[in-house]
Amino acid sequence: MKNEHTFSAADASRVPLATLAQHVRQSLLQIAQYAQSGVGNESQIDTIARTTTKLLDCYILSGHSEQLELAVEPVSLGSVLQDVLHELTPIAKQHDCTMQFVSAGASQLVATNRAFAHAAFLSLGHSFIEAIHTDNPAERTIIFASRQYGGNQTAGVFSPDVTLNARALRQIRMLAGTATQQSGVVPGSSSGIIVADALLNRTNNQLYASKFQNTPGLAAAFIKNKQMQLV
Amino acid sequence: MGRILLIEPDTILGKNYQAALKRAGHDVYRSTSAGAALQILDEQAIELIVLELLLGAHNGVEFLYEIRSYSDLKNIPVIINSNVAPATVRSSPGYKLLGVQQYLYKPHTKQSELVEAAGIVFDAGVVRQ
Repeated sequence: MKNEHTFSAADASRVPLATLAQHVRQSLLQIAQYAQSGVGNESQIDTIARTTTKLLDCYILSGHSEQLELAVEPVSLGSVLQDVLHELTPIAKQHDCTMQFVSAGASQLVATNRAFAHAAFLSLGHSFIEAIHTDNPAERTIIFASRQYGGNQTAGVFSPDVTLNARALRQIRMLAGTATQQSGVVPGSSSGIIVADALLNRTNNQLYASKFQNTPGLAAAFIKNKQMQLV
Repeated sequence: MGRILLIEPDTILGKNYQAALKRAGHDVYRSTSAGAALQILDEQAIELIVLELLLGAHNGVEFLYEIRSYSDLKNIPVIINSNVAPATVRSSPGYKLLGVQQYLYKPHTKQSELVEAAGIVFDAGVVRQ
């Protein structure tokens, strides 16, 4: 789409500070509530603290990405998504969400930066966890999916309860840093989506609204690693 | 003590608030959205609503305007427990029409203070007739 605004690293370093502050405030509120509830909540507090620290690392990476030399390497998107799923499982359990990894078709290696891909999907996955607001347990599901599509390998995060269509994504991109809520679909700051957008943009992989087996979500397409295809 | 509807989109905060209010002796129904909250209001005789304004598709203010338009729900007392700074909302012209008993700003409010506020509402007898 013409004039579609996506987040660059320069944007990421400037715009989402207030957005990120809201996210960190929410994490601290959660920790405070567990602490006030009494003893026995140490593992929950630890999970929130560690997850928030990782998300801050993703934000820092997105803000400094222009200054970093980007090493492109053969990466298995499936392994990236599985690692992210494993890291987010404790916080997902606290949010009463279930997560699953699905790989459709043979998984090919892609040419990208693994650290950036990992950080992007970690941020994205966490945003989806926080965005789920249905009381229906069957819909409190997040799918990390990888598949071949149009000659490329795509990877994304999907959920029946988070309807992040193209319009919502545009709204998030336009209002980030200027509004308390960037989207009626994703309450709160949507900072994870903004960070993911900036990280993927840095590796020339744009985030877009997509569906996986009729489940809406956000995905990015990656170019297959041609070196490995020659082997 | 009483039946409380807790509308809180954050699952972790919601579970903690629910547990605290239950320890104080209340029956607590928790929902994460305005839509689910309206369903609970249809099914249960709720006596107090604790509400976060920053909800999803329909925000808390819209929810309040809606329930104040229903004859059977308009007198339910409401405590706002929100991440929105109180000055932002209280200064709006329609605020007094929303029947808010107390406005609690989450970052400055302890769990015990929320429980105390709920207790004050029930002790004062400001419940749905």
